[in-house]
Order: sequence, then structure tokens, then C-alpha cells
Amino acid sequence: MTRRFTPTAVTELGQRLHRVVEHWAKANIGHRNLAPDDLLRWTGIQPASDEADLAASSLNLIQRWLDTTAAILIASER
Amino acid sequence: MTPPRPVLGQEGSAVELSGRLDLAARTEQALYTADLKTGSVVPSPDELAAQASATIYTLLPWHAWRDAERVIVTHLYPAQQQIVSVELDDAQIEAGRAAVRRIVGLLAEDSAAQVATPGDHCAWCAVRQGCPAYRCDDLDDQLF
Repeated sequence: MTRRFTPTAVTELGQRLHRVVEHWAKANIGHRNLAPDDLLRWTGIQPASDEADLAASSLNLIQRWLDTTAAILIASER
Repeated sequence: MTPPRPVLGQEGSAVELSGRLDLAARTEQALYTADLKTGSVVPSPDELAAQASATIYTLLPWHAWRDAERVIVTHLYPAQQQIVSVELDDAQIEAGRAAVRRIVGLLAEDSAAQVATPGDHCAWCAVRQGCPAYRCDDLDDQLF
């Protein structure tokens, strides 16, 4: 019998942020540019909101991480 | 990462681990995994290295990208603009394996409640909101 242990509490905000990151990362991997407003709309985040600021902060932090490591994204949500 | 891959043997039975990486990146020498965190408290590198998840997110990429010589596990905290990264050594990986085996053993005995061991780590644990140990009023009083 397969037992599953899934303790992580997933918040709606966390889910939306992860969708932003996934869309952004997959566009990055595919060498496509996404307009920030489109990214927010697809992920259900209101522009000019605290969540939009956090989404922008998330992407900035990811870019800083990539710059620091000199690594290239190869996968997201895999 | 999907599909689940057996990466830990336990007395003749395999323990299948599965998970989903938020991000994976690589250079010629190393594979980097990153987990986006929305928690309020940022762990130190030593605290991150002590989490069983750090071992899991070291082992799974080795199975998915077998040519990776090194795996660096990272947590990203956008609200705090903090990046915490660790590269586990063999002793840390073995300690992580032992922690996973312990959890699996407890689950196999239907002792899931025992899996949660309350302590100072509850102050920064990302899953505390869903954890029966964290919900203990006494522990809340002790920690906060």
C-alpha cells in the first residue's frame, strides 16, 4: 500500500507566487519575454498590489540568484 | 520531481521519494535547485542543511540529472530578499537519509503524529501551520 506524507501547508498566496515563477521561468527557458502585466493577469494577481510587489521581488531575487551562480535555468515545477 | 524514484533502500524495501522542484539551474560543474519560500523566518545554512528536505533535494536531482557532479540546494525568501544555499557533505547526506528513514518508519507504524518533533525549529519551519506539534498551545507559549 502506498502511503503519502504531504505536510506542507499551501497558501493561496504561495500558489499564485509559484505560478508567477513557473510562467516566468518557463518563458526564460524558452527565451521568450513576458510582459509583467500579462504575467500578473495570468496568475490572478492584481497589478499595483502588495502581491504584485512580492511577485516582482520574487523574480528579482531569482534573477539575483542566477546572476550570482552564473547558472542557466533548465527546469521549473518539475 | 516526478515520477517518484526509489533513492533510499531500507532493509530490502525501497523508499520512493517524490517532490516538485520550483527551479533547477546548472553550470558545467554544478546543479542548483531552488525552493521559493514565503515563510517569515529565514533559516541559517546550518539549519537548512539539517532539514531532511535538503537531503531529498540533493538526492533527487542526482537521479534526474546523473551527470551533475555537485548539487547545491537553495531556499529563496523574496519577502526578506534572502538567499540561503547549502552543499551537503557525505555526513550530512547520511544524517538526512537517517531522518527520512525514521519518518518512513513512523509512518509505516501508523504513528504519523510522532513524526512531528516540536522544538526551536518550529519558529522557522515552513510547514508549522499544518503541524499538530505547532498547534499545541503550550508550545506556542514557549516559542512566541
